[in-house]
Amino acid sequence: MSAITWLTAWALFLLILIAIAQTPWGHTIAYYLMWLAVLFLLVSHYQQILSIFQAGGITSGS
Amino acid sequence: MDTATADSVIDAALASADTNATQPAPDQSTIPMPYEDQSAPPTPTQTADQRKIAAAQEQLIGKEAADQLTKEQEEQAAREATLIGQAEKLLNSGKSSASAAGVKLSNIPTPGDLTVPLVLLVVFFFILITYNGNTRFQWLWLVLTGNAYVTTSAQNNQGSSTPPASSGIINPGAPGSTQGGGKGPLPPELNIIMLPNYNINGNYGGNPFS
Repeated sequence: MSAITWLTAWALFLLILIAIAQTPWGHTIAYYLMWLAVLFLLVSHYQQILSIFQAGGITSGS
Repeated sequence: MDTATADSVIDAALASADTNATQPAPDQSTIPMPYEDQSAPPTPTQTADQRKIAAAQEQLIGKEAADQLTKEQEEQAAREATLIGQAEKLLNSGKSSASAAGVKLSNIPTPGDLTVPLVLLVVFFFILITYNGNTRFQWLWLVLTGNAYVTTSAQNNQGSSTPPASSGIINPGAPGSTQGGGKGPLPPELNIIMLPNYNINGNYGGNPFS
């Protein structure tokens, strides 16, 4: 997949999300989708999150 | 039936219709509305005038044909009323259902608005998502502290891994170098190279920006 395809797909996704978020009902959906994404990110990277709290966890290599 | 007789019957029916037209209009509240009760669609009722006209038609074209015509007209009216009524009812119920769901969704509270999860996503993107062994935040830190540098694609394609002379940083990870060790071959798209913190004189340590 080329970079153009990747960027276009992301741009379309963001445009649709922004358009939906403009509506009263879509605003709520977009809001909780964002929180869901945050939750998934935290769950899938929990080991890195724990390493952050160790010495040099942020500035040294993972 | 001859033509004269039929004409006289039609004339009489029309004259009667004219007479009835001068009578006051019936009470509107008693007129059945077509869409009030969809379970039992209203059957068209003939007025006295219609009956007279139907009788005239019957005399003109024969009883069977007149019955057939009347039946077709009634069926057509009933079908139209039923179909249109059902379509409107479906449309209205769909609209009201969608509207009710939309109102319910929009009434769900969204504390902090979209900004909070959006900022969190961006922050986590920088500190959690790794690329070539380091997160964006780590790469930023390494570049800012002089432990990595960014080259152009042209430099990478030419195999030059030497940083610009103005940076004052040597690259121990370059091919043939005896110093340090690189992180392995870099993908051609990646123009950021990690270095041990050596200065141009080969002495380790120190902030290159100080």
